[in-house]
Amino acid sequence: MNLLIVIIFNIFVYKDSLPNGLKILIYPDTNSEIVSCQIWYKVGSYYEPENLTGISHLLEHMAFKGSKNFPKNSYSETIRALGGIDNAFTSELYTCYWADVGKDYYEIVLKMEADRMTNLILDEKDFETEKQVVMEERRLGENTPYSSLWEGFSLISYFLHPFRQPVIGWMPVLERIKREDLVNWYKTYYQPNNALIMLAGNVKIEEALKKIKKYFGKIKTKGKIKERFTFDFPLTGERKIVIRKEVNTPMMIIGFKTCSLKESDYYPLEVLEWLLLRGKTAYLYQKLVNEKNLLISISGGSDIQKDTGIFYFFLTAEDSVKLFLAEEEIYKELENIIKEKLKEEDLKRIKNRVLAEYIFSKERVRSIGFALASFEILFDSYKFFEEYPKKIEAVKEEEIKEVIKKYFKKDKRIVAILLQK
Amino acid sequence: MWLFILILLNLKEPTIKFSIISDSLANGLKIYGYYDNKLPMVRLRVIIKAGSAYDPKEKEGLANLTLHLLLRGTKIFTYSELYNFVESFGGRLESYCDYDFSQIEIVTLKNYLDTMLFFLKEVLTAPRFAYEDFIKLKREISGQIKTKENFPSYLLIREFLKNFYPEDYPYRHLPEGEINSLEKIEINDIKNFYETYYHPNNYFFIFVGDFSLEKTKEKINKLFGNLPKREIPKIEIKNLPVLNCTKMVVIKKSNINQSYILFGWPGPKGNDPDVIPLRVMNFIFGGGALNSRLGKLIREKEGLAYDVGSYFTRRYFPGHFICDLQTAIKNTDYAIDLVLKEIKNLKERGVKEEELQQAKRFYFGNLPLSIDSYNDKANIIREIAILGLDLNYLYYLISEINSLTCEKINKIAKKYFKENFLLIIVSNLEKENFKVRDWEIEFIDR
Repeated sequence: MNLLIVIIFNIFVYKDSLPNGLKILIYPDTNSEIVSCQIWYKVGSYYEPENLTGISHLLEHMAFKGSKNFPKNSYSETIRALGGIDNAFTSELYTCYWADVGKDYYEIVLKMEADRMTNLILDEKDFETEKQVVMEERRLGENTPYSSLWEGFSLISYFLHPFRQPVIGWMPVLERIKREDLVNWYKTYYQPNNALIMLAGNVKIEEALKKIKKYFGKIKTKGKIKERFTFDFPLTGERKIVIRKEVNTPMMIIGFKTCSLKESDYYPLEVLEWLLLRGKTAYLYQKLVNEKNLLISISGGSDIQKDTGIFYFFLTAEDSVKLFLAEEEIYKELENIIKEKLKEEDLKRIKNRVLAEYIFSKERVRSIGFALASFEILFDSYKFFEEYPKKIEAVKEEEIKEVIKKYFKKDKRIVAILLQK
Repeated sequence: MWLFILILLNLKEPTIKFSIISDSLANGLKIYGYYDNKLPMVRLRVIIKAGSAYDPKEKEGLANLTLHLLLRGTKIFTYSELYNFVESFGGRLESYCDYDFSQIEIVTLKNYLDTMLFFLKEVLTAPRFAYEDFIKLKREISGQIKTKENFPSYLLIREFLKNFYPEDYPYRHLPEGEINSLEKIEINDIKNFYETYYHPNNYFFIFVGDFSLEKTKEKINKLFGNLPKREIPKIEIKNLPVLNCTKMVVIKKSNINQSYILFGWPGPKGNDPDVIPLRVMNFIFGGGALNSRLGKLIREKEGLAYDVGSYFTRRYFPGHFICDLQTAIKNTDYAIDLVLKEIKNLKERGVKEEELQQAKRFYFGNLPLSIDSYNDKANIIREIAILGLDLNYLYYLISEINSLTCEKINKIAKKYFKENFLLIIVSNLEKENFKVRDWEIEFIDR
């Protein structure tokens, strides 16, 4: 059975931009009673120099501290008074502010976002207090085994590329960041030509465009933002890091460098992720957790962002002997996939799942907004979201085997291990 | 400025459309539904009124094990075949054990709803309960508990439950149990638990999405109508004891750089009339994120914590009201004092009319958001069914919130923020590092 034949389900997205460079995406859904209003800035830890790690995330925190026309936390207070919810997140490549409100209230959000883009106060006292909050957030991470292992893994995966830096920043750097740094960062990156407005939900396009123009149309760009030049020390051999901490369960991340966003291996790698790691039917879960009892859990997948990509496996075991045995089993399983014929029904199952998940994802307008906008920011085209199921459907068995042969080389593996102290 | 304008606006009760349909079979099996054809899909849940509250003493984790063992194999499906079956139709199969209930959920395209009902019949009525699967599952869950024990926040809530609730109380443990209690569970315990609780009069279905109630009921009747009704044992509970003094329990954990702090008080039953005013009081105090009093004071003004807030449980039996935060070790005492000062302030001075109006506005405006997705709708229906609330509960909620006064909220604050409380801290601090307080204090080295 092929679900693509059963269901044809397209979405309508309106794309536009203002003369000042602000990109606009609108996903109208009249069945919804709400609007998810999102603004995305193309800035994150990828853009940060080593002496300013964490500054994009710190700025995201400070953006809630008030702007000229909405001072003293009134942004969130206003959203709450409307019954809405709001938050923000920062990643390597973008910072997103979002608010979900009833369909009649999104104009207020647009007005506040325009003020946030141009008029942030960035008060000195607030800055010092919020820096402490961010440091507490970093400490929260430090008290879990995951963040130190992940940070170690990133450090050996990228010697010179900015992906080696944690989004939250290094503690000694956070301590040294000054308000002036933040003001400069804000002035450089919070500009209409570096931003995208996403409206998803019960909106009429014409009306929404008028409102966007009203609040964002007059904002001037301060200049073109330079793309960051990145490169990395070539991966010429295996890399390994061992971290010792007081943990109950040893853990390991095994990574293989893959490709950039623009290369065609993106989709076979996605199918491989489903095949090996997603859910209870995943090969590695069934073999290493259920059948052989070597692992407590296994997760991971293909993480491709901009100019580089990595496919990783995250292993948790009861003891280190089992952990290392599981590592060897993963390499064997990859070899088996190359040697043996993949089961036709497994590929069909995955393709059916991808298509159905595509439909299920439309349950919440905020999620569709996130998906469309992140594809637009990362790929310069939201259409990747639309095309995703079709591209997955087209992946052939040989392509999956090819990507394993091409990228999953044992002598090029990157391994971070967390062992009991 | 905008906030000011909003305050001037009239506070209007929202108009919502939320019509739950319900029906039942002769054997007591209930069906709840919400029709929505926005997408060609259905969220289908079966809720078994057998969560961890029903675990026998010293066999904590039994309800969770039973639920998950059901999905490890049936008469015709092995473990991987079960999931393969649902996924081959594009569906998603998930299970989850809570305190009051166990849940199996299938998210499916509407064309395959009947197939998924057949599948659920197989899962619910023909479990394999193979010994080998049981051992593997127990090992997997024990491993997951061991992994969670790496997290201070997990230790904090687990220790809180143990110290807060009396022995034999149904909410004294986390649904997954503990490694020790899992070791004591035998396969026969699973079979007995299943035989006791998995009967049609003790479970119900929820459908949200594009389905026909009439046809679905017909199908369910065909598949489940012949299953016999059985008597389900009730659990008796004692009232939560009133603390006669404040108690502080410190769990020593050496390798952390923050103190994890949790204050706890007894909370109401899920269907208690106090729930609605308590919800509004909590929004003002600590439940409204950065806009709550705790958020503004602890995070925004003092910069002491990233995460601070309060909430209360809404379950079949009375539960707890807690407020928690994490802060740098050096700030532990100061943060505790600030929280207590804010509670005192709330009890003595009460809430302001402006705060109450803001909270009302939030709840009214938030209603469309709270029923936006199929998942949200299914959650509300589940809560209504488990707590035995009226199907029109959302309409009642709106009018109740509208009628609330500051006086009522202040009364609730005084009632639930009792003088004595339990304070649990996971920290690397020694006894002598804490300031002297007139509380009962216990230090536990883990």
